[in-house]
Amino acid sequence: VHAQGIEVKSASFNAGDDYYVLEAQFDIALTHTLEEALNKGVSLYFLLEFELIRPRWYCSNERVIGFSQQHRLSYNALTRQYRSGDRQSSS
Amino acid sequence: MSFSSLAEALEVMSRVSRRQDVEPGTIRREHYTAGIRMRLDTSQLAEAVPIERARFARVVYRLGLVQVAGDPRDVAAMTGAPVKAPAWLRYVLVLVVALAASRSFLLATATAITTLFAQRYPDIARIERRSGFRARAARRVSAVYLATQASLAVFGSQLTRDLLSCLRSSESCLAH
Repeated sequence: VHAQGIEVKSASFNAGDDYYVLEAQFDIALTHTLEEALNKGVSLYFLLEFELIRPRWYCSNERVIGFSQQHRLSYNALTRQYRSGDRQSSS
Repeated sequence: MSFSSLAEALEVMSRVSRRQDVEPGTIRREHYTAGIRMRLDTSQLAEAVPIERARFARVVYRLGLVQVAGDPRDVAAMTGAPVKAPAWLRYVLVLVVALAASRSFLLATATAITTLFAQRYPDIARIERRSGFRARAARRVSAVYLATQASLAVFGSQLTRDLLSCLRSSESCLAH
């Protein structure tokens, strides 16, 4: 993998009276250096961030929903397995 | 979760599906702006890969806020788009620039014809005071608005920051 960056391929947001559903698909491309670092045991942390804002012309915008979720990607050389896990915080 | 290949791990990580309960009435039938992005958390990236830290830090600005038009309860899709300043703000800025340019031009022309300039100096001074006040007021309103936006925006628009620094520098230049 030689490309770089993370692009949004698609995203959708649907809301009901007391819930919302967020779905998204990203295109994650790691550089060769990052992949090499990962394979040598360096953990990579990715941050997913979302926010829904109500624009207000008379005042500052209101942040209705916002959260960030951290994904950890690591490689275990002994088991030759990649591991991913996440931790999230909302506001 | 464990994966035997990196491609598998990235594939799973790249899919986001989240359902969250919120207080009833939190999301109303109004227009909203939504933004989503995923980025490499460079603050957690080991010092061993400093070049990558810089490169991915720039990628952050590639994904901005996206406008969700229509009914927020039935938004089918969001597509990536750069953040834009509101239309009225752009008009105000264009007006301010046009006023400033025409003022400079008129003053330059007037000062080139010294006799006429001397005759019309009181009129020029009066117009200058009026237009100067309006331009300063418009600039300050724009600056306050942009500063508010910049302080609130998690994803921060590069355009907002550029405009803000431009306005601030023009204010300080004019003040001297």
